[in-house]
Amino acid sequence: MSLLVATSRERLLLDVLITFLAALTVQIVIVTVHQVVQNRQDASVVRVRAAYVDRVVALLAGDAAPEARRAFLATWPRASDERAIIAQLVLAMAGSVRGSARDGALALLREAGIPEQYQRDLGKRHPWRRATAVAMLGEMEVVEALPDLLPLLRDSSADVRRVTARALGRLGLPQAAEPLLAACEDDLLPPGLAAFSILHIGVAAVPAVRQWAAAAHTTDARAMVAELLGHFHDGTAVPELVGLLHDTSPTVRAAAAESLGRLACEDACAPLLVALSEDDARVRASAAAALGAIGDGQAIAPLLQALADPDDDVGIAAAAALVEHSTQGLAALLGMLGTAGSAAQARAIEAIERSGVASRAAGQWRSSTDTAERARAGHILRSLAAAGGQAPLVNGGISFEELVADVAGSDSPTMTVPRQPRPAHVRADVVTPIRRQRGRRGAHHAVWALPELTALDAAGTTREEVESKP
Amino acid sequence: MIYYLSRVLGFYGDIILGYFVVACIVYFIKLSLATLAVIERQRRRVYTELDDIFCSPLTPAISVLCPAYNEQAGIVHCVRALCNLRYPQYEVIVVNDGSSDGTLEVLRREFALERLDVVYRTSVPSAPVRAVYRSAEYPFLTVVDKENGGKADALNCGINLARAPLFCTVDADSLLDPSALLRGVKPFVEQPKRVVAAGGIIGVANAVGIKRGSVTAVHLSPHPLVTFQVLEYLRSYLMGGTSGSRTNNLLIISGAFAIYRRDIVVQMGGYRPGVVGEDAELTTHLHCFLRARHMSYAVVVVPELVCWTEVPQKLRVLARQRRRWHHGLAQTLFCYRRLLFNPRYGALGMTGYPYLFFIELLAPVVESSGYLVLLVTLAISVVDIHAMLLLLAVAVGYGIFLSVGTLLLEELGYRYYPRGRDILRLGLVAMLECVGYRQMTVIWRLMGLWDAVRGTHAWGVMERQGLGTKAHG
Repeated sequence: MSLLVATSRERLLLDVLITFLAALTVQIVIVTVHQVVQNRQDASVVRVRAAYVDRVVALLAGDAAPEARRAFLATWPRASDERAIIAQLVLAMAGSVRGSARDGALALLREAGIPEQYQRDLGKRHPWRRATAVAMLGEMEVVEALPDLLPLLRDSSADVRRVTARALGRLGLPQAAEPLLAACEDDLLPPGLAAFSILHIGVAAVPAVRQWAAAAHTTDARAMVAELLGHFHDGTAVPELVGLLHDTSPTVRAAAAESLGRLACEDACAPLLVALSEDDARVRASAAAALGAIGDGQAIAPLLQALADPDDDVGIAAAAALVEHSTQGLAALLGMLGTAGSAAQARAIEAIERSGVASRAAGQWRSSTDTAERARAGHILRSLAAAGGQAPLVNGGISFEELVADVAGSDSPTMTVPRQPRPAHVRADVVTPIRRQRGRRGAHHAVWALPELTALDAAGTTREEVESKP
Repeated sequence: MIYYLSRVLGFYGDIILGYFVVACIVYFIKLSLATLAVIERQRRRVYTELDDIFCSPLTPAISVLCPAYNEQAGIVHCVRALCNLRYPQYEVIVVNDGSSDGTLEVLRREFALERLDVVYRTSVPSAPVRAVYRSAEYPFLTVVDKENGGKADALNCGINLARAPLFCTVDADSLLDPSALLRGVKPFVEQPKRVVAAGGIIGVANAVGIKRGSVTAVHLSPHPLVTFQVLEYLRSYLMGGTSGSRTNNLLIISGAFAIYRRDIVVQMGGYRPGVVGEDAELTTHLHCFLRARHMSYAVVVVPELVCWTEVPQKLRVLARQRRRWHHGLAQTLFCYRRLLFNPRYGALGMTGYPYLFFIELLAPVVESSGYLVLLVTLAISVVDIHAMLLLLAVAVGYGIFLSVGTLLLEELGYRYYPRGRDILRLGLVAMLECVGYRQMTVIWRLMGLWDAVRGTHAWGVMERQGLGTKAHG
């Protein structure tokens, strides 16, 4: 009955214990052997690379001229693992140079027969061999390998399929776009990865993508197509995007609206205005933002209406769109600040603050010597103050009311402004505030740019317009 | 009398044995799944995708949120590392949760902070904000000063200020790898409409070489307590994470590094304030929220090391940490008890939740009661000492088998610790773990469980491990 005294159990336990010990021994042996083998392999890679790295650098420095290549090939090692190491070394270094040096390095690999070797590997049984071969062919930009690579988009191993997609992107051939989209549609490839590769192929892929806009069956694929079409800066895609605005899935509709904003084509204005009054809030917000980017005059009234949208995000998107739209859009937004309901007011103020218009006006008021500019800045600040602090501003460093008190009281337009300390190492690749002005109390006004890269450009130019036109 | 006692004890012993066998099977399945994943990954070609992600216009912007409460000592290193991440578009928002030390002053001095006016829209509830600062040195660095409200509250405040579609939570006492965001965003880039949350593997930062805010050389700390924890981290991430994300039943993503979609978290109402394990709570809530709306989604773990965290070197601090962890686990599991064996939640309700509940949460109870039975039976000497010792040996042997199995995974698939002697020491620790260290963790976890049962309200204040001196630099 009790487990503690049963002898048969005792024996069982002993057996189990012995099994564990055996398994443990096996584990320890594997770890030890692997440790030794791997360390030896790592060391040999380091040794081979060290032996060749100077020569590869010298070769690339001389743009890998044909005779230098011949000399290099004469000493190309026999052992296949060493050959692979050196091929990868050459390839890695070719990645960091441009022009004739890169062409020369790739030619060297071709002359050494590396592409043929990897092309043979495409049919290997182990997925990792196929994946390596595909990746290397992609990196060497072996365009002839395209027919061999395309079937691998439907390989049984997910890894191979992914690597193939990336390699096809590197080859940059438009014929690959259609199979990539098909693989994505059949759920063989994550949509983002297909999109990556198609973007890499470039504008040449647009016809295939456009064709696919109507043909794709899955929501994910259509959403991806809708997003992609906005990134090519090719206006021919507008009809397809307008078609996708009537899609059944709100995700696709929102992506299509966003892309139409990126393309900023005025033909899209009418369908976007229809989308501005549809059921899904995400689509309305995207449509509002797109209308702002396009900047067509007939969008101002509907955008003003959308300020009072039941959804917060739509209202703010509409306000931001008006700021981005044009001088007239901003004027209309400022004009309704005193009259609109409190929700719309708060959204308008938030959008104006985020876009940096308010802080720029404050800065201009203090430092500008141009009377017209100061008058304009004063108008903006007065309108904001008329709204009466509807927005939940924190800090109170400079509230708009205080600014207006300044506007009324101050008679010294050339007030000294402390110089802004120059950022030590602002990185260009990081989103930086579009405008920064230093306030009187050391308050720092700044906005963070919109997440989309293209929107950043568009916003920048329209804001310049706001400044240049009185 | 003694006869009946021994019968009862024997019966209870059978229950414990049954539990042990089930736990063994579960762990074995996990180990096997993880081993399969590692074998699959072992010869995998590491295609340099990070550069592509960096350059692509499809890569979404990220807001990095770093809540800080009394982190004066380490905050500068942490924020400096955050400002030097490699990512095309990101912003850093440090939330000072009403620290009573000089956290804010240190930041203000070090990063040339200046107050600024912003519109603060409360998309999710949080304690009042005192001031918002922006750095003149790094224009993408924002520091928020707010009333104390706990870690969840601080994160909610950060979510309100975040402008990017994704946000990433970072602990103030951990160090992100410079390419952590690029690695972590990969699933979001690949499946933009499906992935809602992603975590990563977290390494132990004690005694690793750090130069200018990034880890240069990985060594094992000579400190014995740290070595035990290294083994634990390896076990939980290599075994738990990789096998969990395959079946999409990952209930816990560590708050030390986690990326979420902001829009969905805002719809959910953000972090629940006043919870001890706010990270586990959010992930579990996310699952429930999306399942209830029948959305197809994915919560994944990127099997790459993205973040280094400094673990306690003092027993007292470690005890407090473990106690809090288990408290948080108990709280979250209690909140979402409706998941238990609920087929409507799919794999999550049938395997993920029951695993956490029975194996992780109740293990200290069963184990400690097992020790108790052992002592009693020894005291009333109704026991065959041989059988008892054998059983104990099997239990210990299995523990060692699992730990060495983890080391095997480490060695075959990852090689974070490339030096042979580090592996050797980890192996030795795996043998010693079952004597002493394990029993201590059992006690700590029991205490955590007790805290949860009593409903201690000490969680209003964010408890950090208060490591006085930082080895960074």
